[in-house]
Amino acid sequence: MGLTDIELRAIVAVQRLMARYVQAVDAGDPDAIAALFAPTARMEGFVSVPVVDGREAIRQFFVDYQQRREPGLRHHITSIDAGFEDDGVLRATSYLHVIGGAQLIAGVYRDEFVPDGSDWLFAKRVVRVEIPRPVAAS
Amino acid sequence: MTGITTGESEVEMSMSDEELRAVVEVSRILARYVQSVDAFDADKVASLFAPDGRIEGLSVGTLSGRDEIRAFFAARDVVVPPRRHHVTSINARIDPDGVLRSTSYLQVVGIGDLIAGVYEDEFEADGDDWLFKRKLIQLEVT
Repeated sequence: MGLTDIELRAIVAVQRLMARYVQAVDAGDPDAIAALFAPTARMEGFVSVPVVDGREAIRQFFVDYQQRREPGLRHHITSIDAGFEDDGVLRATSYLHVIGGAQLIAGVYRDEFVPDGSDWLFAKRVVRVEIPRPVAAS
Repeated sequence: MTGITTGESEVEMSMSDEELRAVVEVSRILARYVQSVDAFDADKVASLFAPDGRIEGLSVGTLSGRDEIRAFFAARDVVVPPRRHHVTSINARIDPDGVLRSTSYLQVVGIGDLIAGVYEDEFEADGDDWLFKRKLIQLEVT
């Protein structure tokens, strides 16, 4: 009953992918972060850069991020709801809580994944930072 | 049977296929519950419970059945930005009595007072799905 074998493996795989992402971000390893994304992947929703297109641009974004980030942060991912939607695409919604900084940072990730051999990669990652609330673009 | 050989004894160490699936399902059901609560989607919250499902431990007392659960969540004031219920440290298992249960941690993240506690959940099979049979919310920090 319940999950198909494919769903089961996919859900566990993307739970791990999300943990790898936050651990690579907190370790300050842009190469490791970029390796989790498909070549044509896109990230959206950063306050500083609304859209980052492609694996190389994502790597470069995190190279720049290293220069300005507050030390000691841990990005906690929780409450992951992952599954195949009606269009056959594997997606997940999860919560972000950044611990260790001077300010509370929290939000929601909305992710889309693509298979890569026996593994899964991010095809699209949208982060919606809710706290502190981003300043509207002028 | 799968296992590993350690010295002279073979140790049975693999989770059953049924339990593996149930454990993964529970992590998703818990996520769906908190996300539906935070989205103020009372119908979705109610749909995650068995028809006679219960929520215990709220200050208003026990909610019995989908209608009471739906009414409780529909009456909540919308907060912007939402205070999000983060569910972590999920210990899901099929207990010796054959019932699927989980113990997990709750931390409410948002502007306002720190709220944290423990969820004790019991699930019931419904065709291909699992539903909450009983959710006990024990708030420890408010």
